[in-house]
Amino acid sequence: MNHTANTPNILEVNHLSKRLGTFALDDVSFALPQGFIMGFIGENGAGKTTTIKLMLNMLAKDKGEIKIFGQEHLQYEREIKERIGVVMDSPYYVDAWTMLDIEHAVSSFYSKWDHSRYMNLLEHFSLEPKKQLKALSRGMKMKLMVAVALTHDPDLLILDEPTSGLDAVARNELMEILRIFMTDERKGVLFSTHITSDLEKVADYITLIHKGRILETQTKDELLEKYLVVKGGLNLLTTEQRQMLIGYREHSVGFDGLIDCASLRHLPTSIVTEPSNFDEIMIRFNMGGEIDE
Amino acid sequence: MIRNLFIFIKLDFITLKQNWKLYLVTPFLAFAVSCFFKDELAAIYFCLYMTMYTSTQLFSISEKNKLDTLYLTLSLSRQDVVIGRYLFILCTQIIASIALTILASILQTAGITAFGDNTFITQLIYGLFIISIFSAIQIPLYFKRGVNKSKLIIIILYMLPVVLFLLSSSQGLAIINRIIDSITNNSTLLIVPIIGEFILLGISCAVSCRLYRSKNI
Repeated sequence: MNHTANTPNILEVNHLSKRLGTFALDDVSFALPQGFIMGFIGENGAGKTTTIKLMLNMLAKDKGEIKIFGQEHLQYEREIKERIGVVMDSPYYVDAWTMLDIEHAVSSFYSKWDHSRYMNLLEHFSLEPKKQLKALSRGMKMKLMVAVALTHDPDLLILDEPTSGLDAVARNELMEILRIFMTDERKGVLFSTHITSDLEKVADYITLIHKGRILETQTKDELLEKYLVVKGGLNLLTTEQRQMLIGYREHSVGFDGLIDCASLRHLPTSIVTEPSNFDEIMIRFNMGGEIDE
Repeated sequence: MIRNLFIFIKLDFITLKQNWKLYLVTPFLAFAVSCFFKDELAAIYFCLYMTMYTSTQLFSISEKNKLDTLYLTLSLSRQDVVIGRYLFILCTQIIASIALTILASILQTAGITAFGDNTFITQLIYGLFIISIFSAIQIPLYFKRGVNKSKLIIIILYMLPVVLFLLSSSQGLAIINRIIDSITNNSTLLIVPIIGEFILLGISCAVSCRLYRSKNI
């Protein structure tokens, strides 16, 4: 499943399935080539965190295959994890720990842990090393987790909602750090978020997940070119044409919806089209009406 | 893998950092109490109880702070986490035993308590064996269900010997006492609880590995 010729995949997920109560992750497949940032988007509960937890062996998969750095993720778990930096959507350190305690606790697990880099990152994020975790705001805790994830110079960053709780300035700082991180072409980032504006700045690839199924996985530009927002008067479309629209919505003066460009020729030429964005795509798919592929 | 296990043990000690002061004064406190009441066994059982409390506390802190998530972001497999945790528990038992032995020697030299060498070692070994029985049951439960969800079962587990003791007739107790005395007075049988502890913890560790492997984090 190579997206870019001659570029190895740093992360590859093939036909991954997992049932968790009433929720099911169903035949999830995507690949992140080395040297790129992939945005992993979808509404809350779409399956983003479940997919990431499966990658990290926090959940056991029912079916499928996960390869990281070309290696099966369970067979080479320790080696793979030493090369990964992870930020989950909520902190997972002891509340009473200071930032120096966190370094003592985790640094020995990484052969490439760099104390001065850690201190620089703490300073960059305005975090006091002797402050306890419980004294930090949610945003500061997220910054701390980003600092820990970056200190051992990982080859792959897996970020699960890293911007939740961060203000616009901090989010911008994080994007800048990711840009710097990606100057090394051997690295990769999987960035799960529902704040899609962050991705417009940094992502190369987008994978859209909805109700446990992958709807799209392609380059950012391909995805934005694939879908258009269409608008028009109430009586402009036939029932059949309406069914082609994703997230079809009627209001007092007309309708709007999302359409796959390949289907655009089936609509009247008088219809108004506008470029889409990630939010629009995500919301429309969540509203329903997607075409089964 | 061995390196990671040692690092994991270190991580467990750091996790309990907030309780260190309590653990440091425990042996002294236990001996103060045993000197006061002229009951030397109290020191041993108090310290060994503290090692069990330590493991419960460790699981409790881990659960409260979602440390299972941290462990699986580090270069560790689930098996490393389980084996590392059992090694940590063995470490606490070794530390408690060393601390008790040193303090017993000091107090004996000073003539404060009347431990005989054999009595002390025998009681310590059997004490370690008894807590290993409890640990072997409670640790797999903690790995599978967590401390909060296991509370009721653990309370029953702890209360069971007390209830059985209270329900036993005086004749029954006399028989149990005779059995215990005959076992503890025979120094050649000391190897049995030592081997027994390792077998119990080994089986418990294997069960925990199996339970933790399927746990959703």
